[in-house]
Amino acid sequence: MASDKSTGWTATAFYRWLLVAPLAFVGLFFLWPILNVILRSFTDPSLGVANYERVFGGGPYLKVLWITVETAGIVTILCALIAYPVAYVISRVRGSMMSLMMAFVVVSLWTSVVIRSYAWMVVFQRKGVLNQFLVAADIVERPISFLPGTLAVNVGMVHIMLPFMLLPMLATMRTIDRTLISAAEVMGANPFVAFRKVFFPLSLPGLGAGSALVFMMSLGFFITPALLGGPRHMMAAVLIEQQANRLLDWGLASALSTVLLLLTTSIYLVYLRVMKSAGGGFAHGR
Amino acid sequence: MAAESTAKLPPAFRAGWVIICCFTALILVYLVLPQFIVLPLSFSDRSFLSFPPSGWSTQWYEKLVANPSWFQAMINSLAIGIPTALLSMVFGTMAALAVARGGFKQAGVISAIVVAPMMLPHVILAIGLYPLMLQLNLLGSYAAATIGHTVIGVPLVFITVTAALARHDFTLELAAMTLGARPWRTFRSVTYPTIRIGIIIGGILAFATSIDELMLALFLTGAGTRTLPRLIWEQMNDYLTPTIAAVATLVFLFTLILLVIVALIQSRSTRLEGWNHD
Amino acid sequence: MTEQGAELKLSGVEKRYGKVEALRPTDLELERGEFFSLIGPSGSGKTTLLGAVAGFTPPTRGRIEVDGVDMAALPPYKREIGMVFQNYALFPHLTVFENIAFPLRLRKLPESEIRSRVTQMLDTVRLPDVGGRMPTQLSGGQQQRIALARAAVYGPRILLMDEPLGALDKNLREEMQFEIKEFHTKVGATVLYVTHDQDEAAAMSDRIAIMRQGGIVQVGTPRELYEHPRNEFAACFLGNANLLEVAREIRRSGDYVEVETPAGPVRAIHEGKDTGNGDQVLCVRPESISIEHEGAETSAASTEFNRLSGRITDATFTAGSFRYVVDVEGASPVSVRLTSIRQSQMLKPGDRVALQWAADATLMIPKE
Repeated sequence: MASDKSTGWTATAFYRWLLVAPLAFVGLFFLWPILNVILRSFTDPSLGVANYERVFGGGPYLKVLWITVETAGIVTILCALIAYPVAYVISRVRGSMMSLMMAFVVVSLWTSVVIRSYAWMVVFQRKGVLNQFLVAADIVERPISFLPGTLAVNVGMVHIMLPFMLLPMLATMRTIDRTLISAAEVMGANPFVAFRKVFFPLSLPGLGAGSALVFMMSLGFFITPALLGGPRHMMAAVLIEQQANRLLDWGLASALSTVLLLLTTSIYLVYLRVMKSAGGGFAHGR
Repeated sequence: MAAESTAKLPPAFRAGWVIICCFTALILVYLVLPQFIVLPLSFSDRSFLSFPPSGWSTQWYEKLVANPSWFQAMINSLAIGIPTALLSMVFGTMAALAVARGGFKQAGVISAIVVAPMMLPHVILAIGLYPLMLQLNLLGSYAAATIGHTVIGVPLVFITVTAALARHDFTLELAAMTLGARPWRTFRSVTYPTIRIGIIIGGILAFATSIDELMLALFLTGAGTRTLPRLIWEQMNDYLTPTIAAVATLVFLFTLILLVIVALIQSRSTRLEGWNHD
Repeated sequence: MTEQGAELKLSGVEKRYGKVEALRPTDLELERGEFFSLIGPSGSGKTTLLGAVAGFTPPTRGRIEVDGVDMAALPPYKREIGMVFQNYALFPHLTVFENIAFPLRLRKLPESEIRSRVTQMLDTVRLPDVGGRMPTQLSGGQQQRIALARAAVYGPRILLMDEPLGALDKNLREEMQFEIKEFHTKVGATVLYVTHDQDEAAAMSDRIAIMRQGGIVQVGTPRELYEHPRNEFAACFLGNANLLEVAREIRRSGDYVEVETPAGPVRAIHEGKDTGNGDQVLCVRPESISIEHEGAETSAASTEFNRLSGRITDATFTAGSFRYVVDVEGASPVSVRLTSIRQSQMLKPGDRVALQWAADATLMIPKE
């Protein structure tokens, strides 16, 4: 009669079963397709690393990868520089002023990316808002051709990525205990020193998480570079879409995707590490 | 700006504070500027995009209504977005419960895998799903896009529900069980009411993401199932008419309504139960 | 509602997580209506044991019998056991009334019955007017009383309590100890109570089990545990103890044993435990020792008493008693507790003093 094995019910075992369905779904429709992409990069059109030789053999594809990383880097740095003071201000104000400021961030985050990119096209085009303003203000004589161009891509991408930098930063800054700053000031630090020695180091996890997030998302960004960048500022996702959807070169598209996947995954791992050390969950993005 | 202790600070610091406040105001305007450029444009009386418009008309909205493909695209977006939200809510909630309550040693790894689709470039998922959907003979169907969007919608629900679960101790559920509630009843009477807000907000996020998603739609939808973003995209590559501005304005209003709903749900839950969802 | 408590019997209950033994094979028997406490430091297995009885973590092996019926494999919702949690675990989305009514609704009782039972229970915990409030609107002590009411409302014959007073402040804790005792008398259930607070356990329990490293060290009434600790750990865990090293046993006569300690020869009771094998230690409770100025000893030397001399290094007044720390050559500082103010007025740090205590108050017990 003695129950020899732990045959009984456990509170946790019940919950474990719940994982089966979502994991099957994610496995079948996420992990499996991605595995196939990697596989295909070595087998299409023939077995071998020919696709990778094309990617890394110099020429246009390597340049696209370089532009992708460079753009992601520039966008990340710009976002960090812009978002830090903004997050600092938002984290210090209270009540309805804070709600108002957050409303701007959230409305921006929620607006369709396609629509926002469209709006930037309107702004940057030859007869667009910016050129009309520049001509009217006598800064330039003739409208400048911003499209397609690097400036437009950067402005558009920073605009879309900024909330993803702001939110993790804010989450971290809000948890910083203000009495620590007061303590530093009591001990003789002036506000600048207190900021530099206490607040800034404590806010670094937010900066780290936001930067990883923005860099990661920028690497795979499609809409803005496709609309505003043109062939001279082509990024990886645009090239992959073109190769697969229009030129039907799936082998090359798969190889490019695998490289992009590797890049993004490594940043993702850094991001997870940062989030873990910051003790928080995932950034509550869009 | 109502920061609490700026008055007694040295002048240099106060000046710095004023400067970054102005900078902040500027950036906040930059964040919503494009949205508000599109709005007047949609009422322009010209056929090309000049700003500000020289005269006003509703002709672009009339053109929009007259063209059935826009209406069809909207229906398609809803036909994909709503099932996506529901499926994401089911899978996301299940995964969040399992990870939060299952006591897995590898909980971190599982979370990372569940959230990964949100982080990795959609283009990779798109070219991965395309041949699979082709094999399953689903390409161009509502199901294909719904599945693709659910993959990126699950993480959103997972995150919001995980956050909601973290606010409540596992002992609530254990208590219900000692009082005689079976697992399903425990979920219905105790777990669900405490995480409901998280599930709903996650679902709305998944819906909004699906409504806005372009890359998967480009690969997985067909002529009959193409979504609104895809139609806008195709139109945009051809010519920049104010019709798109009219669509954009409507979509923008729609997301604003969603946003207000979310804000109302959040403030209501905060007020009624004293919980804070942010 | 004063149903008779059930008999709870654990035999060979063991819990392993892989190679880690969270609970060594344990036997335990609780009598009907008994108030039984598990005490021990964190990680001692008391929560594991409680979780096994509640049904959260079934034991790897062993039987858990309630009135002779094995429940080891049953899920918690089939066990009909009431449980009170440290954080109260009141459902935040339900009113106080609905919280207490929850188990009754699960049992599909008629509305009128639910109403009368909940009302009666609210009276029992002396909070008749809070039924319509939300749990978060109550104080910690009130929430814990509602948690008690909810755990007992459906008449479970066994009540488990997992550090129910752990989240309350000291004064409220003492008040609630009384309330829980009174509640126990009213409902009559068998109570298994987990705490790390020895005073709380001693004040409330009929019997106590001291646990350590996944096993039970000793079971007994509070007084038994205090007066006859089985080993050094038990002696130190319940109450304070002065410990003297045993260098060598000189001789035994009956219950008594004479031993050589670094501070001199001492006479003690050995109670026949652990004869000779392994290291032994002497245990003397601080309040068994009398303290006087050296040279002013009133009682004559006798074999009934042990004596040591030393110097006071610290004197502290704590509500109701004086505590001295006395440096004795060859021993770790000896702590002495006095409740007599008269005697204490004469002593101050630096004084040389003589310590004296009865051989009967000196226990020789196994060292660890």
